[in-house]
Amino acid sequence: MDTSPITSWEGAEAFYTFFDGGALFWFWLAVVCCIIPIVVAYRAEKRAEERR
Amino acid sequence: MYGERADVDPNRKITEEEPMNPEELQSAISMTTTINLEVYYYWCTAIMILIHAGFMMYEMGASRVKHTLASGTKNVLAFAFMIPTFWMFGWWIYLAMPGGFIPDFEAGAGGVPWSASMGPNLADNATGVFWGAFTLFACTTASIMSGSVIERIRLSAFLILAVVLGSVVWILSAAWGWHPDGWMVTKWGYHDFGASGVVHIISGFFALGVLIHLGPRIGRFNADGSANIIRGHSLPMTMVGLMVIVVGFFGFLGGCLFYGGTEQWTNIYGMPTTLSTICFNTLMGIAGGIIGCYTITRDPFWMMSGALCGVISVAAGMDMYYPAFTFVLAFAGGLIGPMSAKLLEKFGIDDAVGAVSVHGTCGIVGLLGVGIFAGGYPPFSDAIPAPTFGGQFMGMLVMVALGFIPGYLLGGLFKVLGVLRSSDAVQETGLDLEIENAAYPESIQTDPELIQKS
Repeated sequence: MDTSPITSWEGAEAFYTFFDGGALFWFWLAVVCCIIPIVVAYRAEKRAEERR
Repeated sequence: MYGERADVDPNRKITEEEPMNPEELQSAISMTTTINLEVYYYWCTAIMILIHAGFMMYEMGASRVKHTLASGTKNVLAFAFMIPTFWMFGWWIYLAMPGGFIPDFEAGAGGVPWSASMGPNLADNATGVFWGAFTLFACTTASIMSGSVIERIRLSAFLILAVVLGSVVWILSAAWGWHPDGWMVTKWGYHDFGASGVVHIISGFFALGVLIHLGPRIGRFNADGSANIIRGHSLPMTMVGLMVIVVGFFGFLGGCLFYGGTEQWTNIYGMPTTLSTICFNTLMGIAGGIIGCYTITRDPFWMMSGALCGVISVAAGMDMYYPAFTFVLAFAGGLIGPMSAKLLEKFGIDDAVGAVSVHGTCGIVGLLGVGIFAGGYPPFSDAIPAPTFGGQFMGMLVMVALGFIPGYLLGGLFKVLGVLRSSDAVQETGLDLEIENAAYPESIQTDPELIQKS
C-alpha cells in the first residue's frame, strides 16, 4: 500500500506516513488504545473484589 | 532558524583546491549547532527516564510485599500513558496557553498532533527532542503523585489522575511559568529555573488534593488519631531507587537549560548561565539535603529523600546561587521536608513516601528562596520584569492552587463514584491480587543452613 506523502527526498520536509491524509484516523485509534486498558484495569479491580 | 536544518549538500567534498566559501561555512556551522542541540536534549531525555526508574524502585521498596507489583505496575503504566497523551494534547497546551486558560489557536498550531512538526520532518530537528524532554517532565509529575497513594488506590483511577496531572495540569503551569511568553513571567518576573513550582509544587499539591479523598492505608492511624509506622518491604531498594533518581536529575536540570549555539547557554527565560553553574549547584543541593535530613531524622529513608528535599529547595534559583549558599538552603530544605511530613501526619494525611512535603513544601522553599535571596537579577528583555519576592510569592500561590484544586476535585469525583479506593478486603490481601501475580513467589527468606555456611 502506497502511503508515502513524498515522491522524492529533494526538498522534503514532513515525511511521515499519512501526513497528506488519514492521520486523524490513526490519531483517534491511538486514543481508543489508551481508553481500552483503563477499562481492562477497572474490570480486573472488580474481579479482585468479587473474589474477596 | 534555530532547529531548522541548514541547506548543506551532504555530498560536497572539501578539498584544498575548492575550500568552503563563507556561506557554505556558515551553513555547516548552523547544521552542526542544530545537531548538537538535538543530541543534547535527546540524551537529557534518556537520562530523565532514570527518574522514573528510580521512583519505581523507591515505591516498590516502600510497599509491603503484598502490594509490590501493584506499585510497580502503576508506575510503568503511568510512564506509558503519559507519552501518547502528552503527544495528543500536552504539547499543544504548552504552545497555546501561555496567556491563561484561553488558548491561542494560532500559537498552538504547531503542537496539534497532525501538524508537520509532530512527526518525522527534515526541516525540524527541534520539536521532537523538546517534546520528549517535556514528556519526561510529565512522567516525573505522575511519579511524584504515584508514591504518595501506594497500597490503596485503584489502578484505573490512578491512570486517569496521572494523565490529568502530567498531560494537562503540569504543562499548563509550565506554559504560565516557564514559557518566555507565560503570563506569570511577563507580569511578575516569575523565576523558576529548575521547576520548584511548575513541577514540584504542582505535583505535591495535586497529590495532597487526591490524598484527602483517598484516605489512609488500613492501620496507619489509631482510633485516637495517633499514627503507626508502616514499613516497606525493602528499604535497600528504596535507597538505591533514590540514588537512581539523583542521576536522573542531571538530565532533568540539564534539560532546563537552553543552548543558543553561537552564544552562551541561557535559562528558559533567556538569562545567561552555564552548564557548570548547574553542575555546582545540583551537587551542592543534593549533598545539603541529604545531610540536613540525616541530621534531623537519622533515618535512611529520609536521608535519601533529603537529596530530593535539597535539590528541590534550590532548583528555582540554582542558575544564580553561590554554591555554599545552595548547600545551606538545601540543608534547610532537608530539615523542613521531614517536619512538614510530621505536620501532615498530625492532620491524618497518609502520604506514604512524603511526596507532598518533599515536593510541595520544598518547592515552596525553592520559589520563595529566589524572591528572598536572588531578587533583582536583570531580565533578558524589557518585556520581562526582574524577579521579586512579591512575584515569587504570587507565583507560589498560583502553583499551589493550580495543583491542589484539580487533584481535590477529581479525587472527590472518583470517591463519589466509588472508583478511587480499593476495598478493605483487597487491601488486606494485597493489591497484587488485582495484578494476579506475586512479586516473590518463592518468598524472600534465605535458608538458615545457607546463612550458616556463608
